[in-house]
Amino acid sequence: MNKKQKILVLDDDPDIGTMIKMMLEYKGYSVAVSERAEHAYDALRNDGFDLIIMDMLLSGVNGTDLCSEFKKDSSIAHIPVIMISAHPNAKEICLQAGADEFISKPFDMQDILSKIDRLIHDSKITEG
Amino acid sequence: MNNFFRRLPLTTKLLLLTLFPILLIVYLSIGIYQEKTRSVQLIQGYIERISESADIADLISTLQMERRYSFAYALKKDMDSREQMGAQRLTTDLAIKKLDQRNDSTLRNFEEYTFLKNLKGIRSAIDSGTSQDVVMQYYTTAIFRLNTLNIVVPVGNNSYLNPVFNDLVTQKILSEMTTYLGIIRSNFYNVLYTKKNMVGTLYGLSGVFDIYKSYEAELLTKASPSFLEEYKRISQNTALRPTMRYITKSFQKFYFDSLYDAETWWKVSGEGTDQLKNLQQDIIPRVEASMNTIYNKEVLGKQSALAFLVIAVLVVFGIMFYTTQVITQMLTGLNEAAQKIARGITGVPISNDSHDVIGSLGESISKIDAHNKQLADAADAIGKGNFNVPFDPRSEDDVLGTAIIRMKDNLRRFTMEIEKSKEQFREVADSAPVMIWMTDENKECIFVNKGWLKFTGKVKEQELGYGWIEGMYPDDYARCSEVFEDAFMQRREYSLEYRFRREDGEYRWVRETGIPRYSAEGKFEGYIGSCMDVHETKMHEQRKDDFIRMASHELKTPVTSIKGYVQLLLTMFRDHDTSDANISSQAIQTSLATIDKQIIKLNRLMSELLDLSRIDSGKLELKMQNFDLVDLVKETVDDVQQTTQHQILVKDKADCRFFGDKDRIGQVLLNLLTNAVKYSPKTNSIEVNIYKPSQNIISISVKDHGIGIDKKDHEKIFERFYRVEGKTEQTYPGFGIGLFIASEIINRHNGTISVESEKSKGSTFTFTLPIAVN
Repeated sequence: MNKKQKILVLDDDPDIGTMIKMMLEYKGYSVAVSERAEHAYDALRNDGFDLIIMDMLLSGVNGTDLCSEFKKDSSIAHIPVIMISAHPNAKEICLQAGADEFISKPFDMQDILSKIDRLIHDSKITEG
Repeated sequence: MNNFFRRLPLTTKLLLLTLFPILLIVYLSIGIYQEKTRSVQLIQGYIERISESADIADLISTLQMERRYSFAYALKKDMDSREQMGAQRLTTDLAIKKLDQRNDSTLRNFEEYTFLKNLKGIRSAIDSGTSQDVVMQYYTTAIFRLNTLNIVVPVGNNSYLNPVFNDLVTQKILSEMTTYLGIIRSNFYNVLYTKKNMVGTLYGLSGVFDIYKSYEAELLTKASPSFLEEYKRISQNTALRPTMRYITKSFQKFYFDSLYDAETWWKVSGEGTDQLKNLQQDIIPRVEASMNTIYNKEVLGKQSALAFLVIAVLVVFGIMFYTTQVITQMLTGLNEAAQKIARGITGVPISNDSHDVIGSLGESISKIDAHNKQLADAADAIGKGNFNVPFDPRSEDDVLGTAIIRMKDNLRRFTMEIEKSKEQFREVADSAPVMIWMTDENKECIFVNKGWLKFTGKVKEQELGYGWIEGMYPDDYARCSEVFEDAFMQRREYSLEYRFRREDGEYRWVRETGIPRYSAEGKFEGYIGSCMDVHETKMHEQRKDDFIRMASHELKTPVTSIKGYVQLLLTMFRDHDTSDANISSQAIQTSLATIDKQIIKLNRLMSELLDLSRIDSGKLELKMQNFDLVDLVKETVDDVQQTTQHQILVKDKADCRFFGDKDRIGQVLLNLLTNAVKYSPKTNSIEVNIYKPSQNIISISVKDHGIGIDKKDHEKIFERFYRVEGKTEQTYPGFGIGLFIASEIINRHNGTISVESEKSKGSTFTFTLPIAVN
């Protein structure tokens, strides 16, 4: 792995965002955290992220709507999305909105890491 | 016998009635016919007898001629007489033979009785020259005897034979007269020819002449007028007149004058006698003609009798048959009408045009029918609820009529009772606080109570049928319709909830329950049910559900954070143990600080939940103590100030000691202050005011300049589970039960809590507490 994989974390709770960032950075990923959705577009188009982790509930914006918009935008659609929610029943809604994986809170560190690893690996094969 | 006759079919009975007259007519007609037949037979017999008489008269006539010629020959012995005599004998033999051939018992052995048996001997004697006296004697005796055979049979009561009988008698008398005249004439000829024995002859003949006279007298009495006319004519205008005059004169003078010589006398008297004989022979065909007329008349009478018999029988039979038919038809008509009535049919037409017992029967049946119809109409009208239908029993004994009237009265009473109970039901239904409705068996609404109309603000006509559905919240219709249809099909009870528009236009949640209703006979008649406004409960439940969902989310957030940091730390320490990786002290510090913060947050949330549970179960206990309220405010503000960038300014215009639960009042203050911080993210000044609006009340207010609260929510924010939310509004963590708990705590201290606020212009929360005056 020559180059660090870049991951964008969208969560309006700074404690959670920080926690995920620390976890992933510890595991060698390059992580950006955004509390507000509107900031995400520019970063996603320009900074070449490899994966998005987003909470289903964001301040002012519905996470599933945002995910759907990502998946309609051709410049973003290829980036795998993992959605996180405290509602265990939200999995279906998230997958319908185009999310590639769903993780319910509170999540297991090992679980999220293996899912990230697999999604990035899969997307590389598809691109390659 | 009586029973046997009763059991006979009607047609047979009526035919039996006709049988006896027919038999009687047949019997009488046969009698008449037989009588007629007997007359005809009698006439036939008469005709036979007359024919026989004619034959006898013929024979007598020929014998007289033979006597004449034989007498002349015996007297004169000349050739003329002999020739005439010979020719006459052949004629006589033919006449005898003709009579012989008649097969009649009265004529049996007549040749012996009339001495004609000896005719051959006499003739031989004449031929041998016997005397003229012997000739006269023999022939006269034979003629006399023959004449006695010519009997006229008495007619008895057969009056129709009277004219014939007279003619027959006349004919016989003429025959006798001819015979006796012949005797007198022959003896006169003998005297004139021989000129001998004049006086002796007259003596001998005077008796014969008397007989002749008496026959003539009889003739004049018995003969018919037309015949007498004829007899008078020949007596006046023919040779009979000189003959009779000479005879009468001879007997008067008792000698023969010289008027006639023998031959002239023979000629004149022969012509006279022939006149009589011709008259007699003329009668026979006349009698025969009369007899034929009578015979034909009687035969016609007989045939008429037969025809009458046949016609009479036919007419009687026809009349009887027709009568039988008519009576049978009438009775059959009545029977059919009666059978129809027996089957319960009314309006049976009966043509009633006779005034006898059948007519009366028909009238009775008509009356029964009319009354049945009246009964049926009355029962029908009563069935339709028309209890005023005019109806009277026919008599005191009219069981059916009385029963109908009793039925009418009872039904009227029952109906009134039912109406009354319906009215009571309506009153109860109307006065009930719930909404009550009924449908018919086709799902159409047929009743709503006053409670319903009060709720919807409509009139009954708008709601009946399917009108009420208009008030249902459109999105709820499909779901409710499915549940209702399903229950309706299976006649099940059901319960469902939907939003229903109230008079003021607000859609309120109502709970509808319906149960099938049945008639007394068990026939399904529709549904009855109620609707209850459960809006408040429903909203409360919804808020509770929302709260639980929100609470679990809120609790998971700190747990997620704590779990994440702990797992990160564990991973770091494990990696350090196994591969001597560096542990960043910065990371450890950040992690632990966040964990600590999240645990405090978690603890607070759990305290709130615990309080909520205590309030719910009424176990929120207050630890009452005296404390300084201003001190408490300041302590609390200090605590909050440490965790926020906001500037909190306390204005204490009053100081007071307060008897209450210090921790709980502190909790209220803390809640108000953290809310002020939380809901004013873009400003940073918060003011706390402590003042006494009156001597025994202390007020504490917390004012911020944050997002504010819409006026419509001012009341509700103190309710349990209520949190101001909007699509575009930022959501804030927390259970949203802080104000509810604060409100409860203040209420428990007999205080009040309220808010003044305007959207985007901040809020001021104020609570007031009563204080004891020293």
